[in-house]
Amino acid sequence: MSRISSKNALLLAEQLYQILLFVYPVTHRREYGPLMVQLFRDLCRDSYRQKGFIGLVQLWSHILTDTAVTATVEHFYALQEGGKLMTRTQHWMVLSLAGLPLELGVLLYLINPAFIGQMFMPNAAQPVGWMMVAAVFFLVGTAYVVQRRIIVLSRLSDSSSQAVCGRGSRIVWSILLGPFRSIVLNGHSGKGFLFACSILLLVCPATFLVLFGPAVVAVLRAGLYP
Amino acid sequence: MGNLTYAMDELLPLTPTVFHILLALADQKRHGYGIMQEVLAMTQNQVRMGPGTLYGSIKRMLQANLIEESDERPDPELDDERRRYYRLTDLGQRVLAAEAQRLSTLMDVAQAKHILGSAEVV
Repeated sequence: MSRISSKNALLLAEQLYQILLFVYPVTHRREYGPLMVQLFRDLCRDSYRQKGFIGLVQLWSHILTDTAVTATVEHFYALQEGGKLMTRTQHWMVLSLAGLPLELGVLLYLINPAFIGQMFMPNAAQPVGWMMVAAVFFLVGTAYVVQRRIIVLSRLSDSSSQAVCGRGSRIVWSILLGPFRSIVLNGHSGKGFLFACSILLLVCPATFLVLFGPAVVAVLRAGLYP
Repeated sequence: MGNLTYAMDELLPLTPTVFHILLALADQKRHGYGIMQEVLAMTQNQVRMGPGTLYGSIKRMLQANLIEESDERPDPELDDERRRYYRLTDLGQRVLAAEAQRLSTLMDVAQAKHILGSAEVV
């Protein structure tokens, strides 16, 4: 009986880990996913043999930390590779989506500054703050997923989708200067203009929040806002 | 995803994870689980790498040409054919030796400053 339950526990753990692997970039998952699952299976077997269910719980705490850190790192590397593969329109789509949380933040800032305060300093007594954080993470996550799909699609498509930015450029360079460079080189095309606008939509609210956010909050807290 | 060419100076100093993996592969080729077991043994169970850390590092070490995949298997009949074996490249061996030398020099400094004995007191 206990042998059956332990087998089920190990099987369930492996299935959960396979689901967890979806947080990694597609390319990394395809290349190393099966190897990581196999390694996880070995680790599970060892942990269970040594400490039983406690060992599995300890292993999971280690695995969750490892996954959170390394998935972020892999996405960063994937962004560096993918930035060179996207077309101008794809860049525009991605940046617009990535800018949504910031734009939403500015809107809420104007409507109700307390929302923003709760967003950056949430606690258990302020469920709205947690909801806002969750919403922001959801939007950023969506932008991320869409971007990964675009990169994979662009890899499968023809070579004409190669690169807004030059060889050796990194993602920050391509995001900040790519559209302006393309406007200068190719004329004031509609797509280029839209792309530049999307950059401004992304950068301006961020700059505003960073430079003037604390000052505005201080003024509002002083009672100049009803 | 092509290989990248690095000079020795660009690769040093190594991160602890990369150094541990290179050290684990110094005497023989190993698969991912074997590397992990060897690192655990080398460090008295202090360094336990997760699958994400291990294969992320392996991916970048392959790109940097520090290690390579090996087609040879110690015992094909006993082994799972889905496992991939890794071994050091010439560059990997030279980088490992250079890093070990660097750490050895640091150890000499620590010894000269009588640091080593004080760890037991703390």
